[in-house]
Amino acid sequence: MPSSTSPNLRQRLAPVLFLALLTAAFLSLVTAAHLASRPIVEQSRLRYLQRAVLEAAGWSVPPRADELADLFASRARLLPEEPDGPFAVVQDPQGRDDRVVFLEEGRGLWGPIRAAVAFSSLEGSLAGIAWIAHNETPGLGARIEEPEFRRQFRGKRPPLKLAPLGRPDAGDRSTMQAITGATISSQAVLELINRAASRFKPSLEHVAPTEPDMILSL
Amino acid sequence: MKTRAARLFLQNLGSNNPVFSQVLGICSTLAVTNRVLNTVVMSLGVLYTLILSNILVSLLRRRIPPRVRMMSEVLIIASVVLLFDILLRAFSPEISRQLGPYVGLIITNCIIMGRAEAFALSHPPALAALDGLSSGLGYAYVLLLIAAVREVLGAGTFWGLPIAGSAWSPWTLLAMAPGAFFVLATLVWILKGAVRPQPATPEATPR
Repeated sequence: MPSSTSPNLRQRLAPVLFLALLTAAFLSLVTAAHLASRPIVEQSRLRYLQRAVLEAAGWSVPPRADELADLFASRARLLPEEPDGPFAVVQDPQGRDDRVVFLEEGRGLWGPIRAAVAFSSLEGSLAGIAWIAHNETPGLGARIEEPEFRRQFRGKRPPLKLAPLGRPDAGDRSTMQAITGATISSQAVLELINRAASRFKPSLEHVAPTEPDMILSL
Repeated sequence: MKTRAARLFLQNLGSNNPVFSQVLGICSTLAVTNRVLNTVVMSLGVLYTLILSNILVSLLRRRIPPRVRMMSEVLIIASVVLLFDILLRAFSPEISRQLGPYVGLIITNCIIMGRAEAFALSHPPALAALDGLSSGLGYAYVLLLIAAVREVLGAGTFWGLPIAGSAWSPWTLLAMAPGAFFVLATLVWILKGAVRPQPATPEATPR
C-alpha cells in the first residue's frame, strides 16, 4: 500500500516544490536589485522633492542636480516638522515675498498625487503648485503636468471649486478649470489644494523673514 | 536552421505581427502611443521582457511541470518586468514618472504570455530569443507608427519638440484613448486591406 501512495504523493508535491523554489529564486533576484538600487532611487526622490518645492514657489529650476541642490540650499528654509505645519519657506524669485510651501496628497485614479503647494505670505493667495509624484494616465490625468494647467492657480484664493462646464474662469479667483476626460485627477487636485489652504492660515505664525544663517538644506 | 530562423523573424514582423495580425497588446497600444518618447520606452521594455522571459522559459522548459506551467511563466514574466521597473526608476526616473503604471502593466501584455506559451515552451533558447526579438520589433514599429501620427496631429509635436506652427490646432481626440483606436484601425485597414489583401473566405464569396 505505501509503495503505491508514495509516487502519487511525490507526483503531487513536485509541482508545488518546483513553484516554491522558482518563487524563492526570482524573489531573491528582485529583492537584491531593489536593495542595490535603493540609494539611487532615494537620491532622485529627494531631487524631485526639491524641484517641486522650488517650482511651486515660482523658480525655474536648473536641469543639473548640483545646481538644483545649490539653489534649494540658498533659497529654501525647512521648517520644524509639525502636524499640519508647512514644509518649507522659500524666497520668491523677485525677493519681495516669502512663499510658504506645504506638501499635500490627493487620491488620483491610479494612486496618490503628491504635490508641493505654495502660498504667498504677503497676499495670502496661491503662489503655485508642482507635482512630486503621481501615476495618472498619460495623455489624460497626467495633463496636470502641463504648464497651462499649473499656471491657472497663481493668484487664486482657495477654497476653490470647479469652474462650471463651458465657462472660462477669467478673473474668477475661486474656481479652477478641470481637465476634460480626467475628472478624478482634477477633483484630486482641487481637494489637495483646498486641504493645503486650510493648513495655510494657522501656520502663518511660523513664517519669519528668511535670514541667511537660517538657511538649511535637505 | 538559418532559413527557419529568418522565416520566423520575418513572420513576426509581417504576416504574424502581434499587433495588426494577432491583435494582441492593444491595452498598451492605446495607453502609451500619445507620445513617441513614451512609446519608445514601452517598446524597449516589452522587447527586453519578451527576449528575457522567452529565454528563461525555454531554459526551464524541460523542468517546468505541465500542471504549473502557466503560473511559472507568469512568475518569470513578472520578475523580469519588476527588474525593468527597478532599473528605470534608478537610471531614468523622468521616463519612469511619465510611464506611471504602464511599466507594471507589461506583465499583463498578452504578447509576452502568448509567446512564452506558444513558442518558448517548445523551442530551444536561441530560437526563443529570436522569436522574442522579432515579436518585440513587430510590436514596436506598429506602436511607433501610431505614436508618430497621434503626437504630430494630436499635440503638434514630435519627440516633445514643437513642429507645427502656432496656427495649428491640435486634434485633441487623437491625444485621447479613442484616438489610438482610430489610428490603429486605419493602420490595420491599410496593411491588411491594401498592402496585404486577405483571400476571400468561401462564406464571403457572392453566389
